[in-house]
Amino acid sequence: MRPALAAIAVVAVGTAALWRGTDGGRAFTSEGARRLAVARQPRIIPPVRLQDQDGRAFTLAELGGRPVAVDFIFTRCTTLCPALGRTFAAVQRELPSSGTGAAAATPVLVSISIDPARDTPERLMEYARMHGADPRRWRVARPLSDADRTALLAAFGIRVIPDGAGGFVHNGAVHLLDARGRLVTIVDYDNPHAIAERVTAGS
Amino acid sequence: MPGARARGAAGVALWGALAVPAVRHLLESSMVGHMMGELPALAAAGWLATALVPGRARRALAAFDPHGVAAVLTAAFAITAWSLPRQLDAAITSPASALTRLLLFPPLAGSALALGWERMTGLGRAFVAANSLSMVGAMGWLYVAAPVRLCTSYRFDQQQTVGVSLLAATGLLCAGLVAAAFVGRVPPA
Repeated sequence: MRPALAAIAVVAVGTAALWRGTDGGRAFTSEGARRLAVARQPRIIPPVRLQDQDGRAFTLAELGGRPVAVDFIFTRCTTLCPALGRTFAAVQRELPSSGTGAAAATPVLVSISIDPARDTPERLMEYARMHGADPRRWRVARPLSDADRTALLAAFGIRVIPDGAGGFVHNGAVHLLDARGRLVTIVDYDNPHAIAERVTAGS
Repeated sequence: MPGARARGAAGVALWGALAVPAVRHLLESSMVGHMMGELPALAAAGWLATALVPGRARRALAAFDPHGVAAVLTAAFAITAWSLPRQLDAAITSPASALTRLLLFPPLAGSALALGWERMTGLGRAFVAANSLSMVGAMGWLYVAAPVRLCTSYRFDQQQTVGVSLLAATGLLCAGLVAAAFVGRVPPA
């Protein structure tokens, strides 16, 4: 009897630990865990100073009352970032134009550079032009200091590692902020239509 | 037993070495080093250190688990849990997770397996060995076939290298198992 009970106890404790460690079998990766955590508990994003492709300084909070979709890029990137750029270009086409309805509520797209030292406003402008970014609706920006970059990446839960060729590897996802500036949803970048719908609806 | 004491000391020394930050960082700098170097080494440290467990404690454990089933199940759960991609990331990004793994993985994976192994029947050992083959093989296939990065701490190409290495390890384990099964000593009739 005792051996059977011991085995059953191990299976019960082991299953409970695995269940807890995977958020109920829903997150086996840290990216999955990050998305679940944000969906459960929206995150406050620190008011980090950013500078966009026109050299204008702003914070995400200053976009004031508008839903925001954020992705992270670096302009030298030849793999993930061009795909993220194509996604935002497609989302931009689907967004309501700022001339119709409540202009104040028009969503904004923000691409944030993870390589602010190299990504000067000129480089950001090149990236913006390459993807047809309309500066009123899609701002390509960089944090203004290393401390700002670190704070922003930590708040979003972005992990940046070297790619072994002088560039970076990082989480590829689209981050939706609600009108109060809180990170509320993280989604895959492969469905621009769904992103446009969600960000228009205020995530 | 001097041999047992030396084995136990080697286990504790290995455990201590794996606690040194420089050693950890070196092993964790590549995904292969992390999964196929550090984790097996932590388990090996626990396995070897088991030699220091006194006879009284072994007998007490044997009273609860005479066939080693609970011990081997403990090891299986520990290995599964700490092999999850998010746990590999956590061990790198969270010092608390790293410390928890350093303290718990050797006893729960290595020592539990060692204590269970010595009480298992031959058929039980063969069952565990054959199942570990399919487990390592499936994990290798998963890492080779996954279309996305599973760990945010490692590149996609490192993940594929782990997959190929796990498949190679499966082949070696399989060869070893076949050799042990069919070329081993014949028991007296």
